Amino acid sequence: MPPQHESREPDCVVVGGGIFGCWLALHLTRELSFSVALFEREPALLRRASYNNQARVHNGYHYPRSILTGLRSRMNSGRFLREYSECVDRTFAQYYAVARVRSNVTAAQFEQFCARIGAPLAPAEPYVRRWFNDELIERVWRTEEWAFDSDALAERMRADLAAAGVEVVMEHDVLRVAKSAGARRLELEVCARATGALRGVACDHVFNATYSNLNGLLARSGVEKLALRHDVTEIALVEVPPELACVGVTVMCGPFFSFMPFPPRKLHSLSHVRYTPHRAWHDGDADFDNASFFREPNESSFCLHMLKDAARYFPAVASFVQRDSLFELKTVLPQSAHDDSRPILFSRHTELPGLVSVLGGKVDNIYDLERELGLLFDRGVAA
Amino acid sequence: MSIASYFVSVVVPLADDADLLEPFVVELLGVLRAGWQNYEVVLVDDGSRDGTREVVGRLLRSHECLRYLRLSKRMGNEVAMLAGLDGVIGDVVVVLQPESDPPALLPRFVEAARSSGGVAFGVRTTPSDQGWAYRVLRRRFTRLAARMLDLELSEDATLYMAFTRQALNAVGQIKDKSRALRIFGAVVGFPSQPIAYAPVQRRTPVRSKSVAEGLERGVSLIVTNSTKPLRYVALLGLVASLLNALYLVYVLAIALFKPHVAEGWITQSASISGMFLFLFLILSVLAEYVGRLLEESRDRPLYFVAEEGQSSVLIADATRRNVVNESR
Repeated sequence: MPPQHESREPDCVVVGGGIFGCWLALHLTRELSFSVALFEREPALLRRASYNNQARVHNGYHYPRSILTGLRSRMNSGRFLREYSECVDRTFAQYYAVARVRSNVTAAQFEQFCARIGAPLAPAEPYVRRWFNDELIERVWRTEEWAFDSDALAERMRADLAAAGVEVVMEHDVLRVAKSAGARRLELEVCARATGALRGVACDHVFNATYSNLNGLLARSGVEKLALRHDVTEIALVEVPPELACVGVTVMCGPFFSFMPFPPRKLHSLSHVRYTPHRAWHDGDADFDNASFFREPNESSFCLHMLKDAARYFPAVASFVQRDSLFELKTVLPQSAHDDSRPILFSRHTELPGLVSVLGGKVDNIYDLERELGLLFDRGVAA
Repeated sequence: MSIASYFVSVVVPLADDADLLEPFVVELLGVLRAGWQNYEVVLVDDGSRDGTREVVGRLLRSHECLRYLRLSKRMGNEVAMLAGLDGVIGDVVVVLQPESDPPALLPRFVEAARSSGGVAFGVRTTPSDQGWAYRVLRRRFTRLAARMLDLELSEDATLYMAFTRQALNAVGQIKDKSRALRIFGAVVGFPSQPIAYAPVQRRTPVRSKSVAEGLERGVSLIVTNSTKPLRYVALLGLVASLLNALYLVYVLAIALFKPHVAEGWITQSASISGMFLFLFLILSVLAEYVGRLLEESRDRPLYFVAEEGQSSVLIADATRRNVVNESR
């Protein structure tokens, strides 16, 4: 049973209104019957990393070197598609291609991998095959993989949170979490961004779901920082010729590129393994810090590099026109910086019992949190 | 193409060049920065063991637009350049050797390749610092290769070269195992422009190149690129069989018209000349077939397209209408 509370103070506070924060708040309210408040520093939900990414709903294809990750990704994406079907764009054809040179996976290996995880794979139509440069591309397949519309998803989350009775507070920073000696509950210091007004909130559990700012809250609360690596990334938004409007292309698996529809802007997102990460640092490096990126995100675009390289494999890219670029901090665990695996971090802080930090990587991975929450609240583990 | 979207790539093959790398890269980046908005430098490490990797690691942290490729082991300068050229994304690509080539000439190379729409290659104006044996053999080889391969090759051409994207794509289609960028640049037949310059000497003394290795490479290059030596030998076989045929006629004439001949001379001579006649004939035919096989098995396109055009008027007779007046 959830603990009784007399005032309107919540049982749980979720810091951060991204996909993971929203899902956490919903799950805590609906499944675990807590009263929940959610604080977000932006004026709307899902504005930062949940919006500024490729919007790919992974379906396993991306992990030819890890059967486990591929399989988990397939299982989760099926559920995500069922539960959030109206937020997913399924109107385009996603093609995967394997490069002849410098690819970490061969065409035969990729086919074998997809067969093992049960991911559908069909040879690309001959007219599609001709779009690719035969010198550099070994084989092309049509796959079943989609993109989510982050605007639609934000709207759905907003409606779900309101229906569940979660108190959603926009444009507020959570400055620190503390526990006075002898106190029963955790104390949060919250600041309204517009006025600078401070107030305190008491609760039993705090979920720190602030992605690239995880360590900011931890440091201000006097808790030992997590080892995190941050990459400044660029996703270019491009206009493609009409015949490619409903086409996504991903070239595996090495220093290659990918373009696919980006539903909220009606453009295509273009990313490149070599040019999307601009620079990286670990928390604690002297030269860089996250705050300065958020204050002045003045990055120069590498879109031209992406286009020049991609046009070698897919000549029609030469006619793409850049319309915009999304710059964002991508935060990963240092151990997974060199592969595509993005395990969820679910870390309890012993210095401050009740405080939990959550770091997710891929949108459809949210379901992996269920088990951890069950363990945390000792509710038995859902299958 | 507008200057803003114009991209220059530079490929630098490295082989134990830690000693001269840093000042070279700094000079190179200075030239690039002054000349273009968009550029990249690809450093290809041909299995160095002298700490080149550490020096590059330092440079990558402090300088922009650098890329680093490290080959698993020493594969040779030509293969290192190929690995770099396979990965560059520029509209014009320049290759230069860190030991001897001055980056200050980059704008001239890029401009020459762009304006001719093909290849620009450096030609040294000062004698090479290599030993006299190597120098003499290299010149001989270049002259021989030019004749065997039907190419125009300058004897003093260096490996400071610039390619347009079209020319580079054509070179990339040549999959031969035995590689020579200087020769391939000419093989693809794109317009090429020589640029005379005086190489600098960044390392004293210069690393000497092995004559034996050079000879081996030269032989292998001519053999893979040309069937002419084989054809010459086949011709020689044909001449030899012809001489044997004449000798056979001579032996038969002796047998018919000369009364006193040593016993056994006629049979022996006739059988030897007959055998050699057939032997040389068979060898000539075999050589012809081997040459044909070699040409067929070479994975090389029959042609390279340099440009495509189309008349701006599509229909010859503008007054013609797509209407018929009767049905036949």
